[in-house]
Amino acid sequence: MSAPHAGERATLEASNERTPSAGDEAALLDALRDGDPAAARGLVDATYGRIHDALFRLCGNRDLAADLTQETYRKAWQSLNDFGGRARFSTWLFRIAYNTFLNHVRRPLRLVPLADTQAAEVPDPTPGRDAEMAARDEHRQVRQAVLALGEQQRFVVTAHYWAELPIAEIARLEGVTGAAIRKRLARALGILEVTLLQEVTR
Amino acid sequence: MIASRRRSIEERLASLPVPERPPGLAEAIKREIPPGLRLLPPPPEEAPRSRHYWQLAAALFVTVAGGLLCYHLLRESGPGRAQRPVTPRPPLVVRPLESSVPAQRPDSALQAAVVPGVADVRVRVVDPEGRPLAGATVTLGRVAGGRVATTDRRGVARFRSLRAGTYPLRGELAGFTTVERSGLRIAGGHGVVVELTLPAPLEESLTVTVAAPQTDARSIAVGAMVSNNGGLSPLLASTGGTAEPNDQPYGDMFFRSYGVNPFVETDEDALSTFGLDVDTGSYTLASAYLRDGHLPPTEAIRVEEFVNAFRYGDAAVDDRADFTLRAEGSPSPFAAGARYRLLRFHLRARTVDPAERPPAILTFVVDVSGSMAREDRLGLVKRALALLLDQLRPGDRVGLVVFGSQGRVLLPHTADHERLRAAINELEPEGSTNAEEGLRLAYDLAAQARREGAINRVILCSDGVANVGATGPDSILARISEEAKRGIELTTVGFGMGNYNDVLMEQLADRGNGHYAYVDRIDEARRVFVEDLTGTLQTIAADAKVQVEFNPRVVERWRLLGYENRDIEDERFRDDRVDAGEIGAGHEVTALYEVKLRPLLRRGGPVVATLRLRYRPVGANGPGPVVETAHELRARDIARSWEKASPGLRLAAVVAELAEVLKKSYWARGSTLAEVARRAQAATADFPGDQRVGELAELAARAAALASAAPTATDEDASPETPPDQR
Repeated sequence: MSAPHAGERATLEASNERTPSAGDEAALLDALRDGDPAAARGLVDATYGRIHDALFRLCGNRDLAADLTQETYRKAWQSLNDFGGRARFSTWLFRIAYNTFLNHVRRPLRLVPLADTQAAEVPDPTPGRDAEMAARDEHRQVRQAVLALGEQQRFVVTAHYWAELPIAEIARLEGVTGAAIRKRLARALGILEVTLLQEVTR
Repeated sequence: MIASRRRSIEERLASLPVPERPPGLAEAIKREIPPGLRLLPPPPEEAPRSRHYWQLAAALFVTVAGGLLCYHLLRESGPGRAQRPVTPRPPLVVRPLESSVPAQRPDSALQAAVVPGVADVRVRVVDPEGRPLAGATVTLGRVAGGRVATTDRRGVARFRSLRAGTYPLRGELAGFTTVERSGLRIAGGHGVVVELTLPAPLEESLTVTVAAPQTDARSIAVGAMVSNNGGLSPLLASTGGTAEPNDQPYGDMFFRSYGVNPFVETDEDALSTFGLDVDTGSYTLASAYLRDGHLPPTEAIRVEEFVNAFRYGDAAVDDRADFTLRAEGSPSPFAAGARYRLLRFHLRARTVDPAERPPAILTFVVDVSGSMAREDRLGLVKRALALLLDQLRPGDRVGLVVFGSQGRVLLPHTADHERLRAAINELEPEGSTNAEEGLRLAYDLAAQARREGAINRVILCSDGVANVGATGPDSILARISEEAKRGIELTTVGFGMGNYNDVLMEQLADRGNGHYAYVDRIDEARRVFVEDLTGTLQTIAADAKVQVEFNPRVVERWRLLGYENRDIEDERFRDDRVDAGEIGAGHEVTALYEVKLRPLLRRGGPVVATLRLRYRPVGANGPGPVVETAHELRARDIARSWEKASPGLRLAAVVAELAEVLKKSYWARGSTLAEVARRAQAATADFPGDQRVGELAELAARAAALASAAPTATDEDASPETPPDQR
C-alpha cells in the first residue's frame, strides 16, 4: 500500500528482529541487581531500537524521536526502582516512552517542533516522488488519527501496533485482562476506520 | 466486509515505517547511565493479593453494570418513554462531529497543547431533522472577503488550510432561514468539523452579533510545524470552540510567524519605521531545508534575512563614513501592476581593519548535551571554534563554558589559545540540555573578565533544544538584556537541523544586542567565523533605526518587504531608548519597498522618498552620541526598465521574491517558483564567481521542483484568504 522509502527499514524486517526474550531480560535485570555496570548497557542494546521506533511512529520526526528516546532512558534510570516486574522491562520502558512523548507535546513553553513530519522522511531526489508524497500523506493521516483517539485507546493502539507489544504484556502492564485490552483495541479500530475512511473520501 | 476493512486499518497501523536508527544513539544513551546504577530486589509476593482485589472489583462491576442494564431496559420499554420530554433542537448547533462518534472525546490535555496553525474545516449543514442540505452557501469570515464554499450531496462544505483564528460562520440556502454565528474558534488541527442546522423557513430567524474576525496580520502567532509540502501540518485533531483563545500566545512554538506587512496608503501614513537587522539565519536554514529536499516551513522565512544574506557589490564611497547609502528603484517583473516600482535602500557599514579592532574578550558557551552527538553537531562546533581561534590576535582572551545536564566552567578567560584549542578538542557529548545554567555561568564568567573598551561577547553554540532549566526562556532573556546594557553582547550560532530552535536563538541574540547565525556546514562556519568575524565582533553602530518617509504626491501606497518583527512605532524613531539593530563592521543591510506611484509622474526632480538613519556610532571608546543622517531617493533614481536596473537591485528583487513565495505571502501570490528560479539563473551572470548567487539559482530551482511535486500547494490554498489589513 505504501511505497517503500529509501533509507527506511522495511517494516517486515523490523518485526523480524526478535524481541529480547524474557529470559535475556531477566538475566540482565538480575545482573543489575548485583550492580553489574554492563547490565544497564546490555538492557539499552536490547531495548533502545524498539523504543526509538515506537517514538518515531508517535512523533514522526527523526530528531525528536532520538531526543525522546534519550529522555526515556534518563527517566527510566531515575525511577528504576519503581519497575515492579509486573510486566517485562521493555514493556515498562515503552510506558515511560509513551508518557515522555505525551509530556513533550503537552508541556507549555516547550520550544520544540511538534508535527515535524518533514524530517521524518529521508530525502530522496530520485523519481517516484508522487508515490512517495502519497505515502507520506498516508503516514501523516494514520499518525494523526491515532493521536486523536482517547487516551486509553491511543495507548493500546500505539503499544500494540507501534511498539509491537503482545496483548498479554499490555494487559499485565495495565493490570487488566487481555480481553479488556482486546476490547479497547477493537473500539479504537472502529473509530480509526471512521476517521481514516473519511480521509479517503474527502 | 467489516472484518476486511478492519484488517486494512490494522495493516496501515502496522506498516507505519520507521527510519534507520540514528547512529550513535545507543552510545549517547549509555553515556547517560548513572554510575553505580542498581536495581533493588523485587518486593516480596504481591501478586496474589492484587488478584484478590481484582476479583472483588470485578464482582462489584458485574453487579452494578447488571443493575444499570436492567434499569435501562426497563426505561426503554416502559411507559415512561413516550412521556420523556423532547428537548427542542436548538436552531443552530455548532459542535464537533467527533461527538457523533460514540464515547470518543479527544484527550483535552493533549488538545490544549495542539499547536495551532491552519486547519481544514468542514461544515456540515443539516435541516432541523438532521438531513444533509446540499447546495447551501457557507461563509467563514466576514461576508466580504471571507471564504465561501458550497455544500455537497452530503451537506458538507470544505475549507482547506484555514488560518487559526476566530471566524464568523454563516450558512444560507434558499427556502431556509440564514444562520449566522459569531466566534467560531479554529485553533489548527486537521479535520475540524462543525455542524450547522438551518432552521425551517417559518421559524424565527436567529440573529447573532457578528464579531470582527482577527485579521491583524502582525498579531497572528502561528505555531509552525514542518511538513513535507511546506505548509503547516497540525499533528493532532482539534475541535472548534474548545481550544485556547486566539489572542493568547501559544506555548508550543517552534518558529513564530510575524505575518506579512500590508500595503499602506501614503495619505494615511507616509512613514515606515523599523530597526535594522543583519541576521541571516533564516536564509541558511531555508537553504538547508531545500538541500534536504523539503520546502521550508513558511514561518521560518524572514524576507529581510534572505535579502541580507547576499553581498550586492555596492562599493563603499568613503570608507571613513560609518555608512555608505544607496537608494534606487526600478519596475519589477514581480510587481502587482504597471505603476508599481521596487525601491531599494542599501546601507553598507564601514569596514574595520582587523588589526585596528579592540581586544576581544570572548566567552564560548558550548552545548555538549546528548543531542549534539548526532550528525556530528559537536564536531562541527569544534571545527567552527577552531576557525575562530585562528582569527584571534594574541591579546584576545577566551573563556569556555559547557553545558549538558549541568553547566560548568571549563576554562576561565585565558590568552593561551593552545590550551583553549586542546580543551575544545576534548569536548564530549553528555546528558540533557541545561542551556539556562550554561548561559548563567557564561555571563558570570564574562562579567568577571569584562573590560571597558574591549569587545565583550558571549558566543552560544547550541542546537537550541533546551530541555532542562527551572524556567522558560523569559528569565534568561532578562539577564541577557541586562548584561547587554553593560556591554556584554551575545552571538548565537545554531547547529543541527531537526531541533534547531529558530525563535529562541533569534530572541536570545536580539536581547543580547547581537547576531545569530545558523551553521550547518563548515563553509557556513567559515563565513560566520572568519569572513564576518570583524563584523560579528566589532559593532560599529548600535540601535540603528531607519525611517523612510514617502512623498504622498508621488507615492500612492507602499509596502515594506520583511522586517515584520522589527517594526517600531513612527513616533518613537527619535526615542533613543528603543532597542533596535546592531550593525557590525562591513555589514550590508538592504530594505526593499514595493510602491505604487501616482499617475503622471514627472521624471527628474521630485523626491520619492527620504531615508533617515539614526544610530549610535560605536568606536574604540564605546558608543558615542546619537547620529542621524538622511538620504533622498528621487524620481531619476528609478530605472525605466528592469533591464536598466542595477544588478544589485535585480538580485535583491529575486531574493526577496523567493522569500515571499516560500513564505506564501499574499503579495507574491501571482509568482511561481519556476519564474523566480529563471530570474535567479539570470542573476548569476551579473555576479560571476559569487558562490552564494550560484547557490541561490540552484536552491530556487530545487524549490520550484519541490513545489510542483507537492500537489496541495495550489495558489488558492497557499495564499492567505484575505490581504493583511491596512495599518
